[in-house]
Amino acid sequence: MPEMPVLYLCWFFSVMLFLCGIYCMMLSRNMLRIAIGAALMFKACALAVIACGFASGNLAAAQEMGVAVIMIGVLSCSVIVALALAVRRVTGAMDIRNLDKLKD
Amino acid sequence: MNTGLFFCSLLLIFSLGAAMSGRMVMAALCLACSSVALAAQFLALHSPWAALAELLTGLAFAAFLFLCSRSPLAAETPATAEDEMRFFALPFLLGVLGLAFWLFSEPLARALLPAQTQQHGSTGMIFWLSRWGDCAGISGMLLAAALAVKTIAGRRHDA
Repeated sequence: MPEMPVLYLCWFFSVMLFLCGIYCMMLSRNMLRIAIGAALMFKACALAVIACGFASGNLAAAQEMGVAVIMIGVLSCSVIVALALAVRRVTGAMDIRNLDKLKD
Repeated sequence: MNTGLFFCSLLLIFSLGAAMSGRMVMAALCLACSSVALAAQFLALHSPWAALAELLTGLAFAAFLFLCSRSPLAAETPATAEDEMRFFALPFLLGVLGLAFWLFSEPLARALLPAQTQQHGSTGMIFWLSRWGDCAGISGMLLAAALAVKTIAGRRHDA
């Protein structure tokens, strides 16, 4: 089964990438940095999906799901950046703690 | 295998750069480079459409971030005591996770592989799965140690 090492290699790097994203999201209050963390976590998910499809031989379905994960990730991150810009317009800074001030 | 290892390593290095870079402009550039590395890895996995989607969307998002981050208002704000607690929680959790991976990789590999596969002489597979678990665990603990050192050094610098 020659694909197995590739699968575990990709899984290992997916986990590490996901941890990078969690680190980036946890340790900052800047919304742009939170968007970067979310983008890294979505990249990890896409890599895991494609690697699973490659190892199981069902690459077409995995590729469709991977493209869907990539698109959902970019859309979500764009929404976060748009919120950051709105927060900056209202409060003058991109601090996540000022998010509730958008209600005013 | 070697191509995958190379591109995945590049991806991880650039992602670490994006996550840990102090300047937002550098973080956006590292994110763009990590998108290119991930697209190359997708190509290595015979997924050209996923590679194309990752390349286009990743580079567009990185360019968007780059433009947004050029404002001085996007600068970081100083950390509070609550943030310091989160700084200390992450290395601890990561270290415990790495230790668990390191200690329990072999029993986990034996439990995850089907019994039928194990009967047909899959000692090599269990061995390599366990080594992957060891690598993940030790890497997690090293990362935790690096984060702890960075946190303590940052606190001393602030003091």
